[in-house]
Amino acid sequence: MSQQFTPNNPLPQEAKVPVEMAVFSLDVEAEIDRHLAKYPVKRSAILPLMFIVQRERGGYLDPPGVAYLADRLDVRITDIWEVATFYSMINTEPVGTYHIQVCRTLSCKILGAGKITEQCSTRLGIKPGETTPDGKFSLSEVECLGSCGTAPMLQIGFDFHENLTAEKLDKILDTCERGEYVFTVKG
Amino acid sequence: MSIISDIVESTKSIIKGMSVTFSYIPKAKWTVQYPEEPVTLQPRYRGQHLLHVDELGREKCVACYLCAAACPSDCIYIVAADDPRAPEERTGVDERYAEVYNIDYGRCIFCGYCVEACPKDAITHGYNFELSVYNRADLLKTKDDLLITKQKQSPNYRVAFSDEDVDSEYKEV
Amino acid sequence: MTTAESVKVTINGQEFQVQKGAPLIDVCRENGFAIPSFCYYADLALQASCRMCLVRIEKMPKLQTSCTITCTDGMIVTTQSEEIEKAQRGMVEFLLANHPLDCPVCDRGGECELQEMVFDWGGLEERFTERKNYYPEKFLSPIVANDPQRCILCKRCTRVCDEWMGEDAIEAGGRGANTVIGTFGGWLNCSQCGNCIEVCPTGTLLDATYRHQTRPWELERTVSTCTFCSDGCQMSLGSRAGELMRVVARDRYVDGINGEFLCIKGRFAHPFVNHEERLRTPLIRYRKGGKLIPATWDEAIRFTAAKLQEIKDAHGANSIGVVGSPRLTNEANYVLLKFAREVIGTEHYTASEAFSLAPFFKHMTAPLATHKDIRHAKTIVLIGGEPEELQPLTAKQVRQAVRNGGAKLVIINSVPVRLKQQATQFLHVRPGTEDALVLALAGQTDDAMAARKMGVEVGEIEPLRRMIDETQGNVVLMFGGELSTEAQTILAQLPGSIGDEENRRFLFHPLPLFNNSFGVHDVGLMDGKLNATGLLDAAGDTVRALYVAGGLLPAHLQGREQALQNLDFLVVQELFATDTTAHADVVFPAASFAEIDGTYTNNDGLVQRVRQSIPPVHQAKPDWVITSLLADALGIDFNYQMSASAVFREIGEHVPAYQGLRYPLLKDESKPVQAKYQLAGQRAEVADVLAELRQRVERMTGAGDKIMETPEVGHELFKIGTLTGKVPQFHLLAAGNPEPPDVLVSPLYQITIDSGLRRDTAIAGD
Repeated sequence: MSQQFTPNNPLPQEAKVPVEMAVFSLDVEAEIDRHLAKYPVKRSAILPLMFIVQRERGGYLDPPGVAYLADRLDVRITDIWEVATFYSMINTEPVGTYHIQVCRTLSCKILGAGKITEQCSTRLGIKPGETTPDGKFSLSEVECLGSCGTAPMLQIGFDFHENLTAEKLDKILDTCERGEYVFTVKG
Repeated sequence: MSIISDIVESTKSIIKGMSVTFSYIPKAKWTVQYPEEPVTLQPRYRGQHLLHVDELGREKCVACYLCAAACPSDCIYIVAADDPRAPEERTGVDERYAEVYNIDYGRCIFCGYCVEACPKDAITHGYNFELSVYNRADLLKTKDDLLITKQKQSPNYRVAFSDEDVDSEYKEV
Repeated sequence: MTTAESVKVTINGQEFQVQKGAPLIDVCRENGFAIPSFCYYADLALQASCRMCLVRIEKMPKLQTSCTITCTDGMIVTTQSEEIEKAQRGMVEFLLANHPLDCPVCDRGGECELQEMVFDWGGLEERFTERKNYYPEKFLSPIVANDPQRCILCKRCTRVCDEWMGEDAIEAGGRGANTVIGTFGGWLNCSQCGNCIEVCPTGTLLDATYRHQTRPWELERTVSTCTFCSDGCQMSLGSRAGELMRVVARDRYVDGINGEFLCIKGRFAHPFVNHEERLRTPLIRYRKGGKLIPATWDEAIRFTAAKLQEIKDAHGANSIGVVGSPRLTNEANYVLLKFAREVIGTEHYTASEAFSLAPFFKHMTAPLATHKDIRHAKTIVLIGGEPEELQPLTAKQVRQAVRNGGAKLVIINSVPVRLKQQATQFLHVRPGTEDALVLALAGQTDDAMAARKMGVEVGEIEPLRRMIDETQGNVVLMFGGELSTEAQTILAQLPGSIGDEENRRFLFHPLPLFNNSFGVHDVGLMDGKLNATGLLDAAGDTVRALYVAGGLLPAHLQGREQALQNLDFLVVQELFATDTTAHADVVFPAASFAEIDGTYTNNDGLVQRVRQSIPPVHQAKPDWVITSLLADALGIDFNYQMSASAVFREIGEHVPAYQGLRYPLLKDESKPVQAKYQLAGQRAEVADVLAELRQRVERMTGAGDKIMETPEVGHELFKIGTLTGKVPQFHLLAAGNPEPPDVLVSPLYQITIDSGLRRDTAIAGD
């Protein structure tokens, strides 16, 4: 009479609750301490710490990293998840080397953000929110990145690419594919 | 009252009655030669229910129980179940389907409320009307009897195409 | 407490005198003005996200959400107008923008708040033609199914999880139109209470064990009392065709002391009722060492009566012991007592209770606190016990009293229980030294000695005493089974010796383990000469036969396995084959709580009804019926005419605390009736007890390690014993469902039936 909850359930999901905690080098710990010292309440430092952990843990918040954050900030892991999913700059899933984030808010949308995304999609063979199998590219659609005057735009890492056209985008993707892309802004 | 007037009066009535009888003899016959000939049924005739399937052969019924709730004679019994398989392998169109779907024709009054209630157009009235059985228990029809893919349609009926295509007295009313 | 200022509020042209600061939405609803809302939930933090409760308040520029507005003097409110209706209709349209039209499939269909709202406020046509957000359906745990598409983001679940349970396991992630309710890693790592399912107004969070089983209107609903702990939550049993399908506490079905709160046990541990391993017929073992053979009721009753008569004639009446159970109804225990006294004439009767509350009741100088009192208490002192695991409703009320009512909580425990997060003060004592605190509170020892014995700082006791002294309002004293009988006595006398002040009142809240621990004491079954362990120790010696209703506790059987074999004759009334029935000569199949009428007395002293939801499964009979059948066979007719109500009428005549109670008086679960316990005055003989307690404390070594580890969620709650081990969905966890390596998953995995969770914790019974 009860629900059959079998391993080959058609709704597959992976359970990821951390058991172990990430360990960081002394330099990183010092940096974290510096940030923590800035705020009267520990949990306020959640954003800077997330960036650090993300940088150190291969570009996304992995379960041990989250466990570390929860421990350092004295919050629950669901709180971390809540904040992490709110910001498009913080990834909860592994992302590719080139994380292409296309702005889809009003100005960009009007000036053809949809086409830009579509072009990326067809060229890379992935839908927004996915990563190429070789781990090189990730594509996502994000809300306003504050560059409405130069719409449509996207960012790779923290680099802005503005006033996009199909040719311009192709050129950028070519550089990335050849591995010649140079990040100008360090995360 | 004399005997003569009695005879005259009764003869008059007999003639009056028989004139009606004889007047009908040359007219067209309405008697349906069932079961030698098929009965013509109205398109909206409410016969035995049909449970429908979609184009992939999956049952349309999602076991929402609305038909059972609408049924005034409480003749529908459903047991819902969960089908955790992939959509194309499922029994029904959704992950919820009717494991058991019984209609007790000993109770059904063919009111059609179940058909009206169905949000998925999964149940309709068919035209099968020969429901008499020798055993009362056989009046309980299960999903195997009701599914459109499994229900055997009787050869003894044809459905009228339109209101004009009717051969009964309903036409005159 | 000071009475709040009264202010005048005009609603739709009518004037009302209301309390200042009361939420406007409540005031409107109380006075008969219906206001729709989703996210407003009494006694939870305000959300104001559904925007359905809009009202027009004069001098305010826009429509206001009535849930966030508190009443102030001279407020002029309009709850119904064209403008408001237009706004509300607009809101419903937005709520439905992403809501799928799958009501026929959704389990909530028929009792869905959104569905009802759409009937009243929804448009006929959907104007949004855009693609709806799509998220796949998933399971957050084996008992919580989640369909994020249906969510309207009222966040009741997240608030309930945080404020009621203090677990904060479920939260809203993402942002804007993509916000979803979820958890980190996709699993609910919590105590699995299922309250999020209960409060969800849509079909977003659903009971996975009841998933796609039937529809709400198909279920026969019965209001009954939970059988799993002493809190006595009121719940609605949904049954269909003789099968118990689900248990809910939804407001629309039941309105008890617990509101919509239930714990994992109450809500999900019911499948034992229709379990296939239930005993089907009476069983007789004709010779020792032989097999239990199915028999008819007539034969089993005749056999038992003859055997009991034989033993009584041979060894005297006192050679027969009768053991009741705190898990049985008052009726069952009363009839057992009557059987023991009048039919057998034995002095050996008792109940298989974990600890006796007799000394407490004898010396009680302050009334019992109800759960409502706990919610509004100002100071709560919790000595021993672990309500979060053993009395979840009490724990919820304590947490809310602290969070929402600003109460002060002092915890004295040898284990750093989770509730200490809410505590103002936590006295972490050595195991088994809780008595010393009671002595210190009674002012009968210097703090230094008590502190030394308990292993706490001397200065930690004085603030506690001061806190109690300075309280303006109710002081609730809670205690668990850790206290010795002497300490219970002294604690019971404490309010009498401190004395009530004008604005302070003492209330007691003992934390016994079982659903009818109070009742079994009240009917007098615990007053026998020997307790359960005593009876077992005398087995084969002075006690030749035992009549056990409801099984013995593992704690009693521990080390006395031989005792049951030494008996000449053992009769057991049980639901399942257990350790006790393994030695029984006759086993009667008893009916579970869902199959009987009766009453339980909870730890508030509230006498609450248990109602029959399904006919007894197989050949089971209610416990009291079996006892009266036996009495009949032994020549005494109790003359109850198969009516539980007749038994209770007799209880109402013979048990002092239940004087005048009848079933009709207990009809309304929203107005529970408290048993009338006699308050004791200051008693002289307490001095002896005090001396004994002092000796006991002085004997404590004042050394030893403290328990430093906070126990995991569910260490008691999920024990098979408390869940009865016959709950199939929990087996699924043990069967190796997705358990990725190096990953800690839902704590339910800790209920590992297959890996053999200690058998001794199994307390089968109803």
